[in-house]
Amino acid sequence: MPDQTIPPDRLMRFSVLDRLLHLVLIFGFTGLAASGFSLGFSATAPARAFIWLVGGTAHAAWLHRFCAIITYSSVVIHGLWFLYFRFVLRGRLTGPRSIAPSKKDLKDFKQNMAYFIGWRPSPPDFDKFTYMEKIDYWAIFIGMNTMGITGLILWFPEWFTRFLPGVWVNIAQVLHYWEAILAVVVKLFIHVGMAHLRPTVYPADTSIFSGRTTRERMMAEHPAEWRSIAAGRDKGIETE
Amino acid sequence: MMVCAAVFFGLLSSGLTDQTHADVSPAVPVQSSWFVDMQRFQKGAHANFKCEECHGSMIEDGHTHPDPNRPDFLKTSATRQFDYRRCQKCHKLSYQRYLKGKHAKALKEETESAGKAKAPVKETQPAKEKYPAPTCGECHSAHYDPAGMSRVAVGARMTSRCGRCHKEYSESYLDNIHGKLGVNLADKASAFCTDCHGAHSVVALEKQQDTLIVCQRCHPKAASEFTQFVIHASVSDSAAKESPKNNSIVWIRRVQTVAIAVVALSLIFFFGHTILWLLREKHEKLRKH
Repeated sequence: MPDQTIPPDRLMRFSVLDRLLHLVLIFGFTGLAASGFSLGFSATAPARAFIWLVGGTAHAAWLHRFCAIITYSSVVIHGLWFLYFRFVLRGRLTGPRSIAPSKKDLKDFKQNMAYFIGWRPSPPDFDKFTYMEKIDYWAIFIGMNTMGITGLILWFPEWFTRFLPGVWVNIAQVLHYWEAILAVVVKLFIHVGMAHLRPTVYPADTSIFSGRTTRERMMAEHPAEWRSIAAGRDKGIETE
Repeated sequence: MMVCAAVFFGLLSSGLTDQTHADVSPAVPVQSSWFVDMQRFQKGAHANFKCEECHGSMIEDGHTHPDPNRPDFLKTSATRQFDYRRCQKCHKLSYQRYLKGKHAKALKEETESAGKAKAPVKETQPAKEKYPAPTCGECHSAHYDPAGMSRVAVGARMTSRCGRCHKEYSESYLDNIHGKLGVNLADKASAFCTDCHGAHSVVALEKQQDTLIVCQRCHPKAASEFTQFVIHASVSDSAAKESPKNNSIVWIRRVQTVAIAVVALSLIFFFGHTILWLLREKHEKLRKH
């Protein structure tokens, strides 16, 4: 096997940009959740404690907007990266190595379900990004846009009601509130559970911070990507 | 003076006997009573007043006072008996505004209908709960309300006090960003009940041009459509039907129902998927041992 030539701990899964944006998201998202939930659940003691900690509702409001801007800027930067990758580097935005959803994800999902309940002996032939990782990514990418649009309506209601019906501000509030709950629960429990608390990676999967993964883990979790690297078609650093 | 006040009786001069509502008003402050707690009175805004300054002298209306032989002795509601016209001696502006507002109008109608022989009360809105029309004393406690409260403390207090009669509106206000910021998070820049509806003038804000003036006090760049934002969006269906914004409320609820359904289904899927995955991995690990 040609894998002798590849040092086991030097397999790159995430580029510097990916890792950086992930860090920005952690801080931005946490700040958004803490300040936003302090308003959403304002009758509770932790909410009042947080508002006291940051020095009043005006500070919390600006913290929320600051975190919104840096969080959304990571969406913009990744969008710009896609454009650069596609049009300047002439890369492919689709295909087995990409984060783009594909028909294979549906097949993988069915096979994974069968594996979970014991109808299949082994997990599906996952490539660089499994369907769970794609859901994690696109939930953020799409969610940040919908939260951004509804958030802007709530930030500038006077301007938006110059051309939108006033009730849209109420509807923006409803959507912003429920999507925040969905996002926080999914990120706090599902994402952390899937990515860090599974028995095989517990207590933490450091690859999103170091960018590196081991040969064993790649063979087990991303067999299709591993075959491609081992066959020399791929250096293991191509991110999209 | 203090002896007189220890067992304190209000003026029994008013001819108004409160037949229809007795003293079960949810509006009457819980501390309202014929007896005055002097310790609390001395912490109130009127602590330096002598009783006679508001209540007149004990023999003013020709009765001995207190008069245990009167049939309604201690049986009527204190806030329905006091002649609140006396308040305007000091609170002139507030009283004049009150006279122009809906509360005074309701009191006038109530007094007129009580004055008529026991004709059946015309029920225009039979389903609605009917509370006695508010006098000054239904909202303010002349004996105990303190002076010099902060804007936020007054706001929180009025939210519960208005809510004694306008329960749905104080609750739906607390569901709105103004209530959350102002009452729950002590933000003095938020709007409290009276900032929009007026303290004594009591405006229902049913007309868009009235509402716009109110909104522009804090949102100077607001245009007319801004007033169509619904503050009291979470009132009951029956109260919503009376609102000119009923159509909006219906749509807000539809969107909310869909949003909750999407959130619930998503969470069921994600939690189910994750739990199955964790169990499978645990099983693989245990099997290897």
